Amino acid sequence: MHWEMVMGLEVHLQLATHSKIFSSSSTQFGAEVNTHTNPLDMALPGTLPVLNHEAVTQAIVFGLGVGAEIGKISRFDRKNYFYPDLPKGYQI
Amino acid sequence: MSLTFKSIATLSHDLKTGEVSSRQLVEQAVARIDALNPQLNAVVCLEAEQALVNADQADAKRAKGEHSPLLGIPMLHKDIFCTQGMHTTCGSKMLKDFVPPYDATVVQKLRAAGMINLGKCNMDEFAMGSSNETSVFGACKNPWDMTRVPGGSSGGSAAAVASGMVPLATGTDTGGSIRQPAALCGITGLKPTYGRVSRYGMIAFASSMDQAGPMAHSAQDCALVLNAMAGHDPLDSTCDNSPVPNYHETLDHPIAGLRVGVPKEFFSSHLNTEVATVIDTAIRELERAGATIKEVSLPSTDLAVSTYYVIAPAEASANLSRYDGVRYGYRCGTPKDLQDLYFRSRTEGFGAEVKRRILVGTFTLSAASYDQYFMKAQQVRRLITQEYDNVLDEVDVIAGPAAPNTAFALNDTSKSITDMYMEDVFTIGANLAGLPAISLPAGLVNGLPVGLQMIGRRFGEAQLLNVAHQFQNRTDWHTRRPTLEAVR
Repeated sequence: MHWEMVMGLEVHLQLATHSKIFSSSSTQFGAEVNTHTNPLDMALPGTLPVLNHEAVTQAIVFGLGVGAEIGKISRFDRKNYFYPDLPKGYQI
Repeated sequence: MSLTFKSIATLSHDLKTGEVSSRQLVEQAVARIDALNPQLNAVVCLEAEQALVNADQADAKRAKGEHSPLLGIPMLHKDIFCTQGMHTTCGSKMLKDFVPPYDATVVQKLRAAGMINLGKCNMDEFAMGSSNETSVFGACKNPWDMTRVPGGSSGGSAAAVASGMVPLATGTDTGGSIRQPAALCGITGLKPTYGRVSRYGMIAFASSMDQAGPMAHSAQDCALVLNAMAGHDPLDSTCDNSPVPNYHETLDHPIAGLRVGVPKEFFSSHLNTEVATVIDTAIRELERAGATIKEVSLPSTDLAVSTYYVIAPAEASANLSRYDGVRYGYRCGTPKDLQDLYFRSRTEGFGAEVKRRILVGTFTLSAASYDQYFMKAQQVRRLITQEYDNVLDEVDVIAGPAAPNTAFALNDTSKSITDMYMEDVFTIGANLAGLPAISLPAGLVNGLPVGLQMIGRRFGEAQLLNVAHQFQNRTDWHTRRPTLEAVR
């Protein structure tokens, strides 16, 4: 039998924004623990995510820089599961 | 002088002329809550001392010449709004000891407008219910008849206003939770357009439909409060940034020539015939005021409840995942391991109706059911929205009943779960379509209030409030009060 190997790479790249992608908490390295957080990061009831405009801009700039196609619409799917490092009970 | 049952507009005038002080208003509200609440169970948290401090500050501002219309007026918040330093339970054992470190935008805005928050109102657990019976604090009673429900989920808010504790309470409406209790308690309740009022700090049930609004004695009072509640919030990306009109300024516009659509599907077998007669009379009153009445059709009305009970539980199942016993809220005793912690914290922390909806929602979102249920429901939702939009191209407002019956009995075991869900058959459409809708007192059947519902175009709150105010200028149903004989 002949097998063809197909591989994909999932590359994570941290964008150089001042705040997090869905919250206004700072991304600066080296601060005291539990200082760069807010009610949203802690998944407190009633909080809502707000997308960081600069993160979108930088992602598009990066995409254009590497010659990628820029999608007109981006959407998030939720993956629901319980885990101690997952304060909202889902990831997107 | 008794201030009980006075409108915000009147109290505001009395405060301005110095006839009363905010301290007097708050003292009288607290005294009335102390007297009535042991039996009504409308209020689940009362912070009288802090309210008096705030009232004195409001009086000091008045003395300095500040006269904004809501300054010094006492109120209560539904216990779904996060209040910094004040318990916020959402009617659930899961959050019974939760004290938020931040304020909801609605809480912050009404405080900025000068309103004095006295505490929190009873509600169905996580806003899931139409009778206020799913609350961990127990059922709230209807001030018109203590053996009956006030409606839900904003039942405590409706009962608090209807019994004269406060002239205003906030509510939230995902499928009728402002309008149905407003109807059953004989008060005026407005669900604004989805996105008109910020949802930040309002504990999420079904995020694509949840919306906060005012519950008061009149459309005029709702207008005064909506002026302060509405508007863009950078903390809620679904909150619209279009300008907020002054809803009070257009209340006196004549409604001659207004086109009112009456959906024939709202007068179906679901509707109690005596309630239908009251609604018909109310619609004739609009006609006498110069409106043109036209029969219209919303053919998918009967699909609205089933559609809602796929979409709302799906959204709830994700929104309620965060209550896992790890960081805040209820945690079970001595968990064996992580699975046991999750399993028992959620089993013990949530009530039966909440668990039912989490299970339904988790099921309809699962890979095997998604296309069959969730996707289908989204398609029907679009269909329902188009039907409403098409009708609202032909008419200015849609009018009909807010609820199929008057207040029903507490602990009515003959009422099945789906009977209960049918309470919202006339209100759910506006949530699915994101439209503003109001319920106002339109008459009594056997001594129990009936609510007239009017649904408007997106961001058409000014017109809805205008029509409602004109109706209230011509009728006195909104000034009728329960005798509260059983309480005294």
